[in-house]
Amino acid sequence: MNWWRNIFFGLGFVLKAASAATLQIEITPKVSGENLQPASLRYQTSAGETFSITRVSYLVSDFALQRSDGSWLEISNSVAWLDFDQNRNSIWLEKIPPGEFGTLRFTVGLNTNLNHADIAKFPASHPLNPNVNGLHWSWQGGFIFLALEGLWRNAAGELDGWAYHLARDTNATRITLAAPLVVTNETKVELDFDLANLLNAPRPLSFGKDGSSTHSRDGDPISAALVANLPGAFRVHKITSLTDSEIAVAHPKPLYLPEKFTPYSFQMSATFPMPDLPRDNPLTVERVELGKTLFFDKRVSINDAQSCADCHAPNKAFTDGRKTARGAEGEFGRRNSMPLFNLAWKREFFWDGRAKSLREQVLQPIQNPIEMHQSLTNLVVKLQSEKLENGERQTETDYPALFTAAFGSREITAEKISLALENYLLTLASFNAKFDRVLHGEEKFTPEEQRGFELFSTEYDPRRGQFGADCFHCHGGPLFQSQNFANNGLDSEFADAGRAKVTGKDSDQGKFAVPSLRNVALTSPYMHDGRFGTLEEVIAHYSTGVRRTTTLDPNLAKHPDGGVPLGAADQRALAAFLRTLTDAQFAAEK
Amino acid sequence: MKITFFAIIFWAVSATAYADPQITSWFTLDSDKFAQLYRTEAEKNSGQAETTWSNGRNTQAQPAYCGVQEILSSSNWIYVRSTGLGSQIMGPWRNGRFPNLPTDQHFIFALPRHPSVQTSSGFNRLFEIGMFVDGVRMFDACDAFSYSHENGQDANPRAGIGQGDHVWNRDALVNEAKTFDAALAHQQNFGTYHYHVEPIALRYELGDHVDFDPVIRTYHESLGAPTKHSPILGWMHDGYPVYGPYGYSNPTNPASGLRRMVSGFILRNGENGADNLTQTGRKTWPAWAARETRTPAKLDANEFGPNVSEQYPLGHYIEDYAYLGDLGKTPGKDFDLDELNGRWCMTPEFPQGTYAYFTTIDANGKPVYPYNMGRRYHGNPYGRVVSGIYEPVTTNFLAHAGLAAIAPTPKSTTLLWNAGTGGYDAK
Repeated sequence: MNWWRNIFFGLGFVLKAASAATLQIEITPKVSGENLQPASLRYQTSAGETFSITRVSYLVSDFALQRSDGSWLEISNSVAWLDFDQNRNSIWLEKIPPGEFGTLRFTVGLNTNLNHADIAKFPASHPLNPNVNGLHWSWQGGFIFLALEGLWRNAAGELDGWAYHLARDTNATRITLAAPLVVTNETKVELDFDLANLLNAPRPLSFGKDGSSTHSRDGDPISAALVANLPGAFRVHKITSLTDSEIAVAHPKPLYLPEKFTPYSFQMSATFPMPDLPRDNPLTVERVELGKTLFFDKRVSINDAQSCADCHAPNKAFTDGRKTARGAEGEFGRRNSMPLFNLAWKREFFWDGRAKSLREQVLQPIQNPIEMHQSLTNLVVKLQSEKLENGERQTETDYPALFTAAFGSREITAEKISLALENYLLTLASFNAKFDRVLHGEEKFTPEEQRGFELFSTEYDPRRGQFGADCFHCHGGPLFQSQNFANNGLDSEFADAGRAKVTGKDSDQGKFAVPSLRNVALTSPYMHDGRFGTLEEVIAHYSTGVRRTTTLDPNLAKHPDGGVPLGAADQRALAAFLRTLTDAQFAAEK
Repeated sequence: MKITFFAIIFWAVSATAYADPQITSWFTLDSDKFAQLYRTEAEKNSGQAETTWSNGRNTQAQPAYCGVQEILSSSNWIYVRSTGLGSQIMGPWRNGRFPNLPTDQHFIFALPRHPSVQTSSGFNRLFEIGMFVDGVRMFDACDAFSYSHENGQDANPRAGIGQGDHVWNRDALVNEAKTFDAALAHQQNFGTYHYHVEPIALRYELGDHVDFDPVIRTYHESLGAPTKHSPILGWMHDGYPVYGPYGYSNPTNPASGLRRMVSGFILRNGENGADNLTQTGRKTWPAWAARETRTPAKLDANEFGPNVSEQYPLGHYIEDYAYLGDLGKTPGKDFDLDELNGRWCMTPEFPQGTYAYFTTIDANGKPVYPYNMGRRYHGNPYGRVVSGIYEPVTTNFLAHAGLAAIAPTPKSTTLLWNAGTGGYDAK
């Protein structure tokens, strides 16, 4: 469970005794009063266009309640990120003094101060931490207030993408709702956010007529219509009281913390958002050291032939240069070895995101029969038996001593192995590429790299005169990645179902984790199956090779067939820019 | 130190590789300085300039650089990347009561390298008409509004009257000067800083016979006669230059002395052969307007403008001006500039001659109609703001890494686990 929920619930528990109540506002996306069916081509615009909705992600802030005497109770610091896919649908407003209120007011979007706050300063759990919400407008500053995406069938009957991103200070929209509230205890207000209203009334939008994308540039009619329609899209559904059972637990305690330990100095770029580092597995020098030793130790595999580093070599940004991974016994897997860096900002691991934490992830390749093929029991025995034999050590590695330093006892367990590896992997931070040095004014882009950066961070939207390569939607922000899984149009039929294997949803067919583009020049070959050998091939794919299917990411589906038309010089410029993301210092470290 | 460095690059470029004024005329000495403004008279008087600002509508959350950031060229185009912000300290505008503030517009302006004369003369849609050499936009002589006969008043968004009939078009200086800063510039609602009239702050920076009073922080025309030909202040969309007010007395003789260029436009006040709108009412158009729009000078009753009055004084609309060339006078003899506000002449940068516009001021050094350009371009107006550059180019000038508006930040942050709180502390 996310920390922010714990914090809110924890506070709620304390405050109850102090006779101030917690007010939960739950907002549920609906379509014409019915529950939203995600990724289902069942909806129609007023112009008769069939469409689906795949993403509803937005920021709400500045909540206020009007007292019966007409005065307003402004609730300071009230801001939430709500996201349909992530089941984030509530904000908990604390310290509401008991009383009667008649009207609820809030803003879709953020006020100017919040919208332009220093994003690197938000705590890991804060709703405005870009790594949490994925709504930060990359290098241009400011947040996307509301991201709506989906697919639609155009006049020719073909599937096309739509992406409405509402942003910019002037588009923050105030919502005022009559909500008769008597706050005595924990109270919950359920609101409906009707997307049919949002796209229809009073200003009907048509993807064909008005355009299938907006990025809220000045004078954009779509964003103006969304702003006009927003106030009517919210309705009060129900007002109830919260039960005590919903009040949850405090922070987890650190696991196996020894009496003596040295906190590890985790270095990251000052432009990165705060990561959600594990509180129950604190980063310590001793644990990182143990994890690193395990990572490079070939005895972790069944036949002592392969260490983690064989598929994740530091000089290749922790990849192996192969199309797909080769196991300890020579068998090839189905997928490309993933690069390992800046993992502290990821929530799900593997190409299909089947592991929810690194500690869960690391034990899988060890046991996988076509990878290291080692049973955990056997591994523990092996590491323990590195102990004494004829009074001498078999090897130089004294694992019991390392485990003692890291966890306070000589006992070796699979859990401790996973915690140590997690510790080490979290410390792999890469933030000293040429791009970063340009950012800090220490180096300059060549004109070609500059052009590539411009293409990278500009949308492709001919209707509004924008002809970029539109890369930043998925690979934006200082980490050049998003937390999403996306189908990037590699195939018409999916040999590998990808994310759908984990979620069981048809709408996830052919989706894979969106990788970071940092160090991308070091991680060839590319894609989950290593099908592309060069950056040039990858760029050509996004220009001419994108295949249309029902799960194609809307940000790609909105482009012409094949992809974003890019000339040869622009493709070269883009590759030149991508090469500025290589962190040579990181690749040289051992 | 840095300024010197870039100045040297610029000098090297201008002195060796290129002698093309379209490349060398840009003002880049302040390109690595952050743009600044005063929001109020109090800030101005105390010298408290800001580098970041917001008024809710326009936000400059991080410092942005002044003006021209990059100059690139191909065989047919010059590309100038600019923030659009002036290098003088901008503002205040109406002591902070003007609702707009300027913001970094980060645009690329494309200027045609080979201007061509318009063959089909006729009315050009005007609005943004050029770019000054400090990277600030040039707007035309009008504001966005005109008289609405039906409503009996000027168009006004607050009164719910769109933009009017476009028959009697308001003069930007007359109607908007109260919102100009000391440089004679202001910005529209999206934050585009621009001049409608002579860019007096830029002229001061370029040494064009303008003085600056550091106590009251205002500019005024220097006393005495000018000693040199005015510099290039900017470029129109058609690729021809706009000069400051002082040109050669004889357009084809650089040794003929200097004088202030006199425009061909006069008020329709009954003098110098013009009709008298105060007597006749605003019932006819001047000949130049009829010619350029190809409509009769005689207006229909529903096109009449308001009578000349205190509220609608002569000069309130640009159609209150007549062109001397239509009144029997001769350009080059009785006055200097044609109805587009330019002439064919030699200049220091174009010893072989060029068509050139001149910004117009009166004998007291105040801007006078048509300011920078009449209602039509001399050449084909192919210049414009473009979304990107789609051809191979040479970099002629690069101010810095080009990542405008990213303030210096610490390079790294360290996180340490704190056993006391169970969380991580940032250092």
